[in-house]
Amino acid sequence: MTVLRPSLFMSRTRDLLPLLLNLPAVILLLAFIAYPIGISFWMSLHRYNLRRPDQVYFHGLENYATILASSEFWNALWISLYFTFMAVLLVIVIAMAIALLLHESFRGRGVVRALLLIPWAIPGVVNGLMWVGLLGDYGAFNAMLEDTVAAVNYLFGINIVYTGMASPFVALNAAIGAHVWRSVPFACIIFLAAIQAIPTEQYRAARVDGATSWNRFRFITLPWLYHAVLVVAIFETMNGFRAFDLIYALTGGGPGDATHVIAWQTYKEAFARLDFGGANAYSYLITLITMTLAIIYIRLLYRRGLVQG
Amino acid sequence: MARVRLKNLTKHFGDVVAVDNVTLDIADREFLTLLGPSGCGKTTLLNMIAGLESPTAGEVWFDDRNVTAVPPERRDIAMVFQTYALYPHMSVFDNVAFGLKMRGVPAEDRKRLVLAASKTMEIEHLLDRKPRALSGGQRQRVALARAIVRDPGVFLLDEPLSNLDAQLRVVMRTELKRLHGELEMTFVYVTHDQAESLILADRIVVMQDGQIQQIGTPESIYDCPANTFVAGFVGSPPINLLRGTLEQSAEGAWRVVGEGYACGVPVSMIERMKPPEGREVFLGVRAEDIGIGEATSSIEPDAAAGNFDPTGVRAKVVVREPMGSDLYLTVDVGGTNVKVRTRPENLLDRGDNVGLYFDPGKIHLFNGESGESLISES
Amino acid sequence: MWRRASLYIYALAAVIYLTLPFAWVAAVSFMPEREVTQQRWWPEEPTIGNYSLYFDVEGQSADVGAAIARQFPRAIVNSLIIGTAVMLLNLTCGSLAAYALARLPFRGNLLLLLFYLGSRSVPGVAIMIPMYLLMRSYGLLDTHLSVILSHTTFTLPFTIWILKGYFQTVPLDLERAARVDGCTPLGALVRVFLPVTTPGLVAVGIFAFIASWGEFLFALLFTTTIASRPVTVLASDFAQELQVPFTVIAAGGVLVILLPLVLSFLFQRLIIQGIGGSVTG
Repeated sequence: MTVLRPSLFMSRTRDLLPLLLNLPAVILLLAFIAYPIGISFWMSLHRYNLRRPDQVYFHGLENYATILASSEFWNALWISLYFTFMAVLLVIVIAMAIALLLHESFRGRGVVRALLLIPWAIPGVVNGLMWVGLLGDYGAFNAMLEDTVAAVNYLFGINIVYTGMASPFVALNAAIGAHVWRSVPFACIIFLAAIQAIPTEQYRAARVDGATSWNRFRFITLPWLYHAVLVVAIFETMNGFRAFDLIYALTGGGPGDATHVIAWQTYKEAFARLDFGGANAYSYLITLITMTLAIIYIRLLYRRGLVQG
Repeated sequence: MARVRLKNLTKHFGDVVAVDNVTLDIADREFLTLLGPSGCGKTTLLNMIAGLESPTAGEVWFDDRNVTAVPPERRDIAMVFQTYALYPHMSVFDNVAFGLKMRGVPAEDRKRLVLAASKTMEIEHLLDRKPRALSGGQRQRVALARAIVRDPGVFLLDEPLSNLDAQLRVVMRTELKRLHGELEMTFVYVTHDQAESLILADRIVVMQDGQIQQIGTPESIYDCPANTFVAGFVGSPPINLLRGTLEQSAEGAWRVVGEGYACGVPVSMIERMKPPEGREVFLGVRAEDIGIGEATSSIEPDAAAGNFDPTGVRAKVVVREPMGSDLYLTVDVGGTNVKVRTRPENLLDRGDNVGLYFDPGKIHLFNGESGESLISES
Repeated sequence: MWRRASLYIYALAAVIYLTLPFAWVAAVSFMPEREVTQQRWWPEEPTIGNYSLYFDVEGQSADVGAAIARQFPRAIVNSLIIGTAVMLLNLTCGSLAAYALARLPFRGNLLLLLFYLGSRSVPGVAIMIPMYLLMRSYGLLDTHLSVILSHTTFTLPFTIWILKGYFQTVPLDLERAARVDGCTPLGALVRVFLPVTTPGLVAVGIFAFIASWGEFLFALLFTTTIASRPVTVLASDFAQELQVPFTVIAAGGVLVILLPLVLSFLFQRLIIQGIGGSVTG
């Protein structure tokens, strides 16, 4: 009897082929993500301002110390946290509402589903420009807001002065609204897929058990969507912290520093102040924050996964 | 046309031994079924014959050719998959013709052969359709046509009927038997359905845990199961197995005595019996080999030992299951449930006490520990 | 009855939410400038004058914003070149990697998956400076290639993730049947696996294209002239110029959005199934 032992050569080729197939992707990602992120860290430990190219030298964590001591950083971080938190919350609520709608059967559902992708297809910059128009002096939404404020003033006998995008409060929340509007479709697609994966017997069983429609949502739909909600939360948290193109087009960071989200602040450090060392330290802090949040979410995912078996 | 020989075939998946040292000789044009519960290694064995899995050890021979290292596309085989695996992007015609095309058969010949195979499988009217527009039975026919069109030496079938509903399964079973009669091919057929196996096969290979339990004709598997596993797996309802002790009376007659029953063992069987290692045995008796006596008032053992009926079984009816042509009774014999087949006219019902007798010529005796049959095949 | 009615009101609200902002901008793009100042919803005297600036090849118009608008056709071509290249790179690199991850058991596949997932979570601003310096040192600034490479790297992890999920839904028996029918491993891949997975490949291809079309940060950093500037960067110039009438900006916006919008309508079903199925599955 001949025993066919896989030879060393054979077992190597078995592993070699899949690695070979992954090679192009790995090379690209190593060259344009892993390598830059390494360089970025190295640069963040240097004094490196393009205005003083003669004075590039290592100075350890000093950039980080400077940043952590600056009020600009804390302001940007606070704005980004508020921006991201509101965005994640609103995206989940609105996307869930539309996904639940699309799960119902009614005439014209196909049309609604086709329209769903409109906000997603619009580039962030153009989205920003669009909202500049909508909320600008002649914008249709601006008119509505002005009328609303006037009505509120009249009804309650108060005097709120509405200054449009010149108001920090309006500008920041308008940016959030525009960001949410564009993010809803992607989240909605994920929710819809998750809802459609719920076995209909579950609802029938709950009906037989006498659950109201709210209870069916609360005790069947929501638990089944836990995983999808976390996935969306991860995606949207990352997107919230990296929001840049919208800010660039819609507010340019203003008025004042009202919409200086952290990505914008980083961009300014790098390309307005030309402080590459400081900007890299900034970007490292952003990466750290998003990674930490991602790890928390993923841990939640896995803990839930274990419970559900 | 091909004879298939497997020599000490073994397959490991990590630490799991899927197929354990299987040696098997499949004759040319034989219809052989690999029968066993899911996870017994029968599909892995089939995949190794096809060349879709490479064995950890051992060899596969087609006639005088060692094909162990030959990839599937260069073995002379055709295969039908459990899920049919029809190519969803091709029409039925292209599905059937694909194998011919890959082997460089010219277009006119392809057309002729596809039409012939479609005729055999009665799917000529479906040739322009896509697989998703077909019913389950039609898909099955296309999968068969795709396999027979190339006139392969070996025809491998992996649970081809298990995705069909019960009625269609019976139709396709007959169809397969007809095909085997018409085509001169070796059929290797994997199934977990013992009835399919008994009906179709020239020979059955019963497998469990990667090992062959028994090889034989349907009759020999059914009548002389090699162990309690084979006895329990082949036949419906499963054979009744009762614990008992083998004993010899003062007159020299042998019988098996257990909780609630006693049954004589004929001399012819004693003569063929391997020397019993212990007295503990399993008595196997099929539902159709049990006779029903008079209903009795009590199942209390007869106090007078002298009156003891050597083949008496005291039972109490637990469930009555009419099946049209037959009636199955589940009865309690000394704490063990026993299935009995009888005429539907029988009026016995739940709670009735009844005397049974096991047909001594049809009983099976197995070693009480290992479960191996005590009777060597005659 | 009440339930039906409330369902339709609910649907109408969703439609308004999803379309109104864009619908207004599209309407504005057909308005003469003075109608915008009247805060109208619908053009009373529709005009295509706003668009004509964008196709003013001879460059005669001296209107505000005309200089930017004139470059639009060229920028759209740039975006097309970049988007198509990004799509093709994603499909080739992505399908190879995803096939290995979905089909071939090998040591280190978990490590690779984590690597891809990790790459996806790196924010663009975190690597913009090294990327800029990298591109500068290779002399790739203001070329299509620099933008193509950066867009490919940030879309690729997502592509691999989605395709891996999609490939795993294809029954293994299909490839096995192809092998038995006489295909080599490569033949089974080309003749059976790829045709069967076409819907998934189209979905991720379109996804990568639209993502590239809309990306802004790297495109802004790496391009300086119209030789390589994609349309998003050009459109952002409007945000810097104060005097351009919004009607003209709106027309430009509509032009930028047109292609991704058409693509997402055409491949709506594939995108929704492809993305939804793989992310949750």
